[in-house]
Amino acid sequence: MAVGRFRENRLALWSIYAIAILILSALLAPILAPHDPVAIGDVMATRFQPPSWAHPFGTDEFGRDLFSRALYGARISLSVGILAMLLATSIGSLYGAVAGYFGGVVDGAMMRIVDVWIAFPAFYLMLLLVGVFEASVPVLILILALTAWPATARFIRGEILSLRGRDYVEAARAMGLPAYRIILRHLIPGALSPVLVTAALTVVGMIGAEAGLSFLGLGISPPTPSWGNMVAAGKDTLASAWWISFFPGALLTITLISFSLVADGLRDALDPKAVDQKYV
Amino acid sequence: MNYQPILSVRGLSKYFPTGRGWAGRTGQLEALAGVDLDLHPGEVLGIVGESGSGKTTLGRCVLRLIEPSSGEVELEGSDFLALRGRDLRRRRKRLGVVFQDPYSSLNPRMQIGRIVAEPLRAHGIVPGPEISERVSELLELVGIEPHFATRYPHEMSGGQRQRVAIARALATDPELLVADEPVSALDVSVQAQILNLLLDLKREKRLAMLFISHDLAVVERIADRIAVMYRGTIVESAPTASLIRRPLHPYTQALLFAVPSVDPALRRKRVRLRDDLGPPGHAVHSCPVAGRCPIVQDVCHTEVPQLEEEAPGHRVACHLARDQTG
Amino acid sequence: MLLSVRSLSTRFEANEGELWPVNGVSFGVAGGETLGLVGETGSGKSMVALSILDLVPSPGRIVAGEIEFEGQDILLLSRAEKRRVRGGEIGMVFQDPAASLNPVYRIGDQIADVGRLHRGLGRAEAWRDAVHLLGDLGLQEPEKKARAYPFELSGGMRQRAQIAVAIAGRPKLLIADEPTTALDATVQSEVCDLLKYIQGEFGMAILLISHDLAMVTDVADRIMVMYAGRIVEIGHWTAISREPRHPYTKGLMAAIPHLGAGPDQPLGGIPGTVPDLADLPAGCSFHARCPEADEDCRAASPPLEDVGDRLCACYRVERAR
Repeated sequence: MAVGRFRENRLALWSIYAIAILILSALLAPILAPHDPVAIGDVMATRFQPPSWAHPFGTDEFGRDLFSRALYGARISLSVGILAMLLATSIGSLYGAVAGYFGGVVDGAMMRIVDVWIAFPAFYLMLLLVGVFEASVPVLILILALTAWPATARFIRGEILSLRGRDYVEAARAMGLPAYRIILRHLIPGALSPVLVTAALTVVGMIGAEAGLSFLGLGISPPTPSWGNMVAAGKDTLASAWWISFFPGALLTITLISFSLVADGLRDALDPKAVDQKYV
Repeated sequence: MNYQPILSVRGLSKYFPTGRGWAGRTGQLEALAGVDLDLHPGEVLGIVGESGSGKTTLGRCVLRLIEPSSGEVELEGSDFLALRGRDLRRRRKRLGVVFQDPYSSLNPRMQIGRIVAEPLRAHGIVPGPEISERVSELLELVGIEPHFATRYPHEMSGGQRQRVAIARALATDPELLVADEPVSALDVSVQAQILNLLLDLKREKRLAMLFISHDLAVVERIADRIAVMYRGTIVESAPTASLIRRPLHPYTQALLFAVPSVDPALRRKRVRLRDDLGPPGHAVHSCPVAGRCPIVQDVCHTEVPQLEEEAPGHRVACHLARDQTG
Repeated sequence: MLLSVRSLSTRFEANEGELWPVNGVSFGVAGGETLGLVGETGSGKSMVALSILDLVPSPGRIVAGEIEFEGQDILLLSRAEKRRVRGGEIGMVFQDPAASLNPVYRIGDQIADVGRLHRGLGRAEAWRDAVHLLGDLGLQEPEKKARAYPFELSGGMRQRAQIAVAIAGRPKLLIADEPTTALDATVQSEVCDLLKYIQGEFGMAILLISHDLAMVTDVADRIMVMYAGRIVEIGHWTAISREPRHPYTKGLMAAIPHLGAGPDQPLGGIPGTVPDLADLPAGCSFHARCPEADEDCRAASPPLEDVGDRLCACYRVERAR
């Protein structure tokens, strides 16, 4: 039923294809990339070349093939985004589910923590954390997830709370079903679709945040390519060598829009209730 | 009836905090204000009331889906409110529940067969291999063909779903069924089918029921006794025939006359209630119906009438009821 | 006839295929009469109301028929003229007053707005009319109630206020779609009385739509019964309630619990369930649930025909004549 509705959503379907191609290219980067993404050869001969058959995305100031760099950059950007999302969604869902199921004082206390966390502007929190810790890839994932889980927690808690009030959950309680059975049979399956939707939205936030940090030089630092630092690398030569920023920027945009459309599609297909979440 | 009641409720009350009012005031809504009732094995007690009467709260308190604020609930002679954890779950096996809306009372992600099997598995009533056989029996009992067991709720009509909900309620072979508006959400023609099914169950299984409804005409069909509720209290309770033929409370009379009739001879004449609700909740020093009562007198505003027996088994809480009988 | 609906058909394109919530429906409402339209889920009764106002929601569409109101086909009117008809010539009352009254405007303003828009009243005059209407509809202290917001009133008072909004333009026809369904029984009967009263007082025709045959019998002059998008029986209320002739109407009548029947009396009723509009049986839509159905009924859909004191769409009834 839900799958059918999702398939009817053309945009979401195309987005899934786009994401699949991007992930596949990232995985196959070592095979697909025509050049080494970081090695620097004869700089003067190969630098600032516009897009051509030899270099589809052109070359940068060090003469590196930007197509190859974009492929390897996809590995970083997508994996950081997706892993951070998985972490944030797992922590957030679990936290929210516990608060929502037990309710009362437990819920009150747990949600106040979330409120305080959310009240602190997420991007400044990230800036602060990357300032304190050295930004390696695992640290970056951790930091991104830390800023994202409260929104998920709050949303999932609301879902669990409303599920708990459904007549079929009440009926299960009235029949004397043990708590674990109610959670396993009725609450988790019911909360699965909202979790999926928030997950897709969280990816958008995470990839965007990684790009933002890397652009500012606080995330993935060169020479390791990420879409964010690639865009930053071309910002000074935008007038003369537009392609340096353009292609990673375009890939980033396509990725973000695709995940957003998938999230929209999932939301429409799974649950008509609106999800309101903001990142960064 | 001198044998032990299956359900005995004494002084049951429930207060809900009424959110934050202006300037942070918090109030209390007394949804149930000291309800007493007894239900004997095989007996159907109809609870009739309009919105805000507390009838649904009563049902949920008896099931302990809501914890009552005060009062006693005895189930088969033992204190039901004292039970916790596993003991409570075991005891709940003796209770079945059917809700109003068959669209929300069945988990949309579970097949019909699994929905009906759930209480069987949870309580280990039937050994594993025999579960599907028992599910088929239950489905047949409520008039659903057993091959529907593999369907999902959304593939069934409202009436069929309500039958499934009844099958689930009967799975543990309960002594008492709490049915909260079980036919109100259904189409008229289907409503009759479900009511007839419940009637059959009452007759064949001698199932005791707390049958909650806003519709006096529906309740009359199935209840042995009827209790009329208004703002958290029982204002009249009597054997069905007595209540319908000789309603003593002005509020019951108004309810009776409000039932529309298809009989052309009876384009109705009716007892009117005034549309003056006053603040919601239970009034402390006056009759709860005083604000709407057509025959209200001074005493009604100063004294709360108590339920008193006016005829055998016929109890009414009205200062003026005796004048009416005379 | 004030309103004449002829061969009206409304179609929905859905995943399951085409649905016909209204399938060749013809009826009339005379000035000052109350026509009760009775049907269960999926009978198409609400879609008839929306069609009359040309407000069928997408993806639905009126695909055939005429809706003649005071000699003009509503479907052929311009947008501006349709707006004048809606609210001005035809008032509408819905099931849930909480949803149709705007929560952020005072009751009196919402009533006065209609008077100003459709009757060209001045501000003060419209307000006076609003207060007058509220008093007329049985609200105590109408001045105070006019200044109240919807949430400050009880359900019954809100439904009266909604009716006041609907009749503030002094329409010639009032369409009331399940006006009592969301209300308590005691309030329900008051709203029924109110409908009778405004009909006498303002001389307007009422199309009263409900699933509740008993309630409709209490108020209507004529009763029309719909099943699966078609009219199955239409006639004077005394005729229908004394002796329903279509098997569906009979079943519906038997399914209504009457007071005073005594305990443990099973209800009559209709076997099976209301059919899915996407999956209607061939022939008479009712034949699968009908105790009297035979080969003819399975073969073709019976036309609505005069059977003496009413119109009825049933082969068996025609033969019985």
